[in-house]
Amino acid sequence: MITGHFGLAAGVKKIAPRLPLWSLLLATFLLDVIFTVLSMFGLESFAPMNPAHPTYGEVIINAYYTHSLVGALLISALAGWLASLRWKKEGGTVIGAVIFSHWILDLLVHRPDLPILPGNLGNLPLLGFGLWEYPVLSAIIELTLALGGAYFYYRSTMELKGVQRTRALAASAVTGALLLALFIVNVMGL
Amino acid sequence: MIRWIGWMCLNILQRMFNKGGYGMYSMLIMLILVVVAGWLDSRLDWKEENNKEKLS
Repeated sequence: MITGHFGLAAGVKKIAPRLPLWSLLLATFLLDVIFTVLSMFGLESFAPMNPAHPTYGEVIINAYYTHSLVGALLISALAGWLASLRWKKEGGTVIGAVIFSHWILDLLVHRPDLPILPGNLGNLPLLGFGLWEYPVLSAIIELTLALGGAYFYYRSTMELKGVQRTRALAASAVTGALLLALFIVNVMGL
Repeated sequence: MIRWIGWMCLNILQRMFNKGGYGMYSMLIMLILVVVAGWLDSRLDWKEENNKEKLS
């Protein structure tokens, strides 16, 4: 669900034009950035089911801290608070919501591997609706999020005039093209 | 300190490429997306939009 995350972040620019695009893109990916750091210390891990032929959605994920419900909420709240120091309360709220949207989208596609409490404390049921079992459907959802995000980003620039309009068109075109390229490469497992 | 930060960054990138779960090309496009699209967006003047937000 990489492209879906980024697509949603680009689309959020329509309702929060004050926030720089990079902050939204980073926010949507923050849980995975922290996941990567934790994986360096062996606390979380990720592996394709078939390492010889990695396929879209065919992955085994152990992210019991960053991708637990409570963990994601805590990271979103903390990062949202930090963002509010720079972009005021509204900006911080949007950043926090975008960070948590990562968990919501992952909930849709992950097989049941998302714990409620960090470290899967109490061995509560793992969450995940498992849309990756239906790769065509999850790919369609991702593509919709990517194209929708690019469209709403473009719409957010409609009011700009003159030179700014040309720059806005370039930014929209590049964002849309990169989202589409990311979708294609991700689905191909590259 | 700088050497340590550099080592950490390289290690994280290597992890992302090799074990982070994303393919190398996906990672590259993600980095380009954040940097290039973010830079193009930062060149836009959103003051007009900001004023609208404040008025509403």
